[in-house]
Amino acid sequence: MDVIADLGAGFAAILDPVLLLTLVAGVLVGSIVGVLPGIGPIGAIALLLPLSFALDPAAGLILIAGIYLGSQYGGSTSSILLGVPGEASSVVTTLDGYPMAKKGRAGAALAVAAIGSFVAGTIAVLLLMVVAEPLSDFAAQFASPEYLALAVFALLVLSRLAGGSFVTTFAAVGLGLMLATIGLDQSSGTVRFTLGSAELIQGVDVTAVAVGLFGIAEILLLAEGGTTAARMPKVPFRSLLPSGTDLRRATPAMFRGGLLGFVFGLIPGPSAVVSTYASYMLEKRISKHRDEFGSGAIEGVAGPEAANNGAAGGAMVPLLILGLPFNAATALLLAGFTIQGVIPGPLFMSSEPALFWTLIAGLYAANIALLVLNLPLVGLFTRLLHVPRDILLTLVVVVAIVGTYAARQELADVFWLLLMGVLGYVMVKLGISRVALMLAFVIGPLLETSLKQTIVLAHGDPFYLLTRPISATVVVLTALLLIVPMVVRRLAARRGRRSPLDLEVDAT
Amino acid sequence: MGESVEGPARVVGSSSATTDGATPTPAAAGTAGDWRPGPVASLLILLILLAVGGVYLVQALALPQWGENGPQAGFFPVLVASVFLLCLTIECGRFLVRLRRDARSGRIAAARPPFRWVVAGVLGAILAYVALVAVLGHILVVALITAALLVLLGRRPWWQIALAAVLISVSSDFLFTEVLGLRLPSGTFGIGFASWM
Repeated sequence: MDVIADLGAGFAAILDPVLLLTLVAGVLVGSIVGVLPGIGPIGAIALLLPLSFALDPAAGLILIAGIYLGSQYGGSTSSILLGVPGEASSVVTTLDGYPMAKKGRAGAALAVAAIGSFVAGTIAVLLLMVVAEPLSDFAAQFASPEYLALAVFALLVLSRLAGGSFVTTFAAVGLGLMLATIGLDQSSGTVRFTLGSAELIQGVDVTAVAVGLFGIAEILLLAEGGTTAARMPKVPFRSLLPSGTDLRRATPAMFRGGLLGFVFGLIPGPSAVVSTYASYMLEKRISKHRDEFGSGAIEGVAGPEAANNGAAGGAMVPLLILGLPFNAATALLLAGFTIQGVIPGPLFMSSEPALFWTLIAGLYAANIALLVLNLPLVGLFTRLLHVPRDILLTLVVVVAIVGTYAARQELADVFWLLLMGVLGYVMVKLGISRVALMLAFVIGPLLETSLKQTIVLAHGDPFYLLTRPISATVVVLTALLLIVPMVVRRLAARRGRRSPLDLEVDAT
Repeated sequence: MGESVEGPARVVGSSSATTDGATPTPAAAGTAGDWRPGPVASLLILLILLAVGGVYLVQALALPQWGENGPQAGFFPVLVASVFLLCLTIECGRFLVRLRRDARSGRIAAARPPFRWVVAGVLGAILAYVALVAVLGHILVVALITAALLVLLGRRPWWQIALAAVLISVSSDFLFTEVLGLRLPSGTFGIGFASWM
């Protein structure tokens, strides 16, 4: 009953006009940026993060959350209408969404995507409410060894699941950790790797890293691409109402996708992408209309879109309750939280209950806003795809530069923006994971502190982590998640079949 | 080097667009025909990263590693640098093996699209901001780089470029200074809302 009362208080707080306006602005801006191909949720959050600096913590967090959810949905609009996935987690939506649009059923596809996202968002918030308190109480027992095990778990499993070469992904992790050590070491007060520069004593700003790696790098790729806006089908408002048959078929897929996505969101790595594929495979396997998949099956849109949003909700659990981001988007959210002076983790719920439940209510309200606003405004969003490319890219570059400068009012940060932009561009060209670098950069300080403290506690025992039940469980889980996929793939290769764990996404 | 699951994507699937087939389906805009580094450029990048790692390791070793209270400031950086350099060395080795194998098999690399200098132009715009903003102020610098980017990225009449430059520079200054309450440089000429208001 306390949880319900707390959530009620959170909703009451959301009704404040400023917070409501901020929420709507975040959802709209996130959707707009998400619609634009190439930028994606991570780029959108990175570019828009500086806008939250001037707001108070509640408004800032709600803005960031609105941008996060809005940009997830925006990517599916371009997938359905153009057949061009806005980002990796919208690829699967293209498989059936675009054929539906070509058959004149774009409205139904968009509506089902929005409703599916809403259903999954609702499921995610309900599950978050259920697990928040018990998980917080459980996580309050965590000490340095547990955090060390979790941080290593996050980085190793991400390196495994990010795709591409494990060695190069792990090198990206190393590079991110190296970047995180620049500046003042909090525990000893030693200044490290500043090359005599006073500006670097504060370390490298997370905004510059995030905006450079994901914002500027994407701009460089878009500038290189030289694409032109494609012709899009018109979507009359009336067509946005799905038929009874559409809803009957799509609804179970939405629930399955939402649950599946939430569970995947709890695992480190590209959970949104993986969950969409898992949902698509599941729907195809159990559907009575299997032959329609690939040419306009409504379940092929409903399931993955719900999974995408469910994963976004699931990823909030480790972020809010453990203070650990398990993917790039939540790493950026953590950066946003830190800038607002909010430290998520086991004590977040008990020390800042009003803020915590306002955020949860904000997530749910953002889902409602997505459903209510995005469908009628789909015509406006699609017009954005006709904004001249040169104007769009120029605007984004200016916003990126100014936003990065505004974070700490240091020109050095803009220089780092440039460096990170070059690095991100090169990493994409070489197929090296930028997410691994970003995640390592964000959790680097936690990893270092936990490692040092664990070594002191261990008194020379190399198996110390295995003597504590929670850290031992995490170590075993890490080993399983690293070894099992390898074994499954080897067995599948011997039988001459494709492994069910292989994803047919070739993404850069 | 492999592909990773991030960012703009293209689907590799069957013509019936399922997830367990073979032929390509719609590609993300901008990925076809894009420049990719050749063997020399890739090796150079790896060597630069190795050099960065090497310098980092040398600096890390100069820091105290261990003390009475356990690990000190240099302990973690040495560990991280060692892992980084090890991974890069392995990747360099694999890369050279692949090159040698391709050379022996007589495999001729496909012609690569040339590097598009518009990329360097965008980076130059960011560098210009860093170099000039303290002197010229935000509005003037943004107007200049907006004009330069529009010339580089599109083909517009001069008056449209001038109009866009003025609008984007003034509105960005207004948005960040007056609406969001953040300070932006107004330069030696004092051109900016921070000076005017």
